[in-house]
Amino acid sequence: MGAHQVIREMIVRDLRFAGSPDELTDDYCLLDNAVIDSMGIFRLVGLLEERYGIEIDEEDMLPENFETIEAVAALVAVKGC
Amino acid sequence: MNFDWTDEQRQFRDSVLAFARRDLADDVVARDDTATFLRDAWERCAAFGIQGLPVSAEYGGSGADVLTQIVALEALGYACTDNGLLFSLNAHMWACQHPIERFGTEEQKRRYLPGMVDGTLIAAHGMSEPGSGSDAFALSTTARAVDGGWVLDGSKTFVTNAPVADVFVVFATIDKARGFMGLCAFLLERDTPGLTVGRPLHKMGLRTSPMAEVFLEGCHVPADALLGRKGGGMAVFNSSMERERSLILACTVGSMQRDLERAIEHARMREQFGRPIGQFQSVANRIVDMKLRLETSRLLLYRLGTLLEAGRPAKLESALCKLHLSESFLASALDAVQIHGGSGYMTEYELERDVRDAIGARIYSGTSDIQRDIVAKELGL
Repeated sequence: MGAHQVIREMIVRDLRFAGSPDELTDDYCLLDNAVIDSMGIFRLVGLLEERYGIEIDEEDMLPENFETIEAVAALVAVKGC
Repeated sequence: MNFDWTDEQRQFRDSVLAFARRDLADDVVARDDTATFLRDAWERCAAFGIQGLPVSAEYGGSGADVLTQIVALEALGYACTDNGLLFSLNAHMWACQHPIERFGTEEQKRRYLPGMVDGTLIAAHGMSEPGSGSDAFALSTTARAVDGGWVLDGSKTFVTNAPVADVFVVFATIDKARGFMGLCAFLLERDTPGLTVGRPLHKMGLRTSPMAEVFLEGCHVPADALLGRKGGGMAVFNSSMERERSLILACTVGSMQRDLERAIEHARMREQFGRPIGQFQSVANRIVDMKLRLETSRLLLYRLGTLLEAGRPAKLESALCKLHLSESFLASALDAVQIHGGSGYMTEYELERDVRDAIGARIYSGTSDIQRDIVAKELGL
């Protein structure tokens, strides 16, 4: 399963996304739509670290890295290198 | 699993105990009554190396490992009864020194850390506002980008050390609509035009720790005042709070040990109805509960220390630690007063002050309710 879909499922299941999964396109605005809040971001980071064996530092917790599923997937790709 | 301290840590603990008994034994009762912060005591702590414990040697610190930091803090809590001084030290170390070392530029580190370590600079952390406490990221202080820097407008409250601080770590939003992702952290010096420190706030406890509001009106700061990345204020704040909630109550483990010993001694010596009061189950059971809280607090704290030292995630553990130690400190302080009866209620016995100081522990660095919320979220609830 590709990273985009993994992240989408994490958001739906673990961050309790209130909308329909179909709404969560790769470019859906996660921050502007309050899908990821200040506690959810740490939960998501923890799940990504566990799933991919990567380390996401606090310095990486910037808006541009969590704007969309596409941005999160790009961060995972960079960290996985 | 070895819970023993190393010989080196034991020797260090003994040196901290000796230092606190010798150099931090000022009349706390009188200073608590007048809410007097002792700058001399701060400087003595710096000279001994307290503020420098967690800071790298290249910036004047000793770069002690986390467990050694805990050893020192616990010893301070045991031998120094000035909880306010210890609170001010902890706020300075975890909410100010730590984020500067973690997120600061080399220039920022060299500019501020040596002075913060050697006692010449006192730092304060400005996050809470009249309209945002537990909901920290709902802050209203704004940072507007201008040519060459930023202009800050807003106010902060409950700023520990503000009346005596030389440097402030202040959080502001560059885009309130973005919530936690719109935050930036800034380093401001006291004499920055537009920064005003309000009158000292008088508190129920921790009175020897000075506190005030901070007002920012058209406060212009240069671009290099930004701490961390633009929009990265949330990471700076969370890193500070995770370190602070992990270690700010390490001193209380020492305080709980001290209260327990006093309670045992009193229960053995004080006689009522023809026998030591410790032989009555009501009294003995309270002391047992004090012991249980002390030992469980120690275990949580030491385990957390090993996780932090190993660089492992510790969000759940730090919240559990903060929750349990704060609640335990208050409960044990109340038990100590109760066991001493009327004497415990008198200020000269220095037991009631622990109660007043302990109540703050359930509020600062994230309330007990917030800690429970963090744990619940970590458990997937």
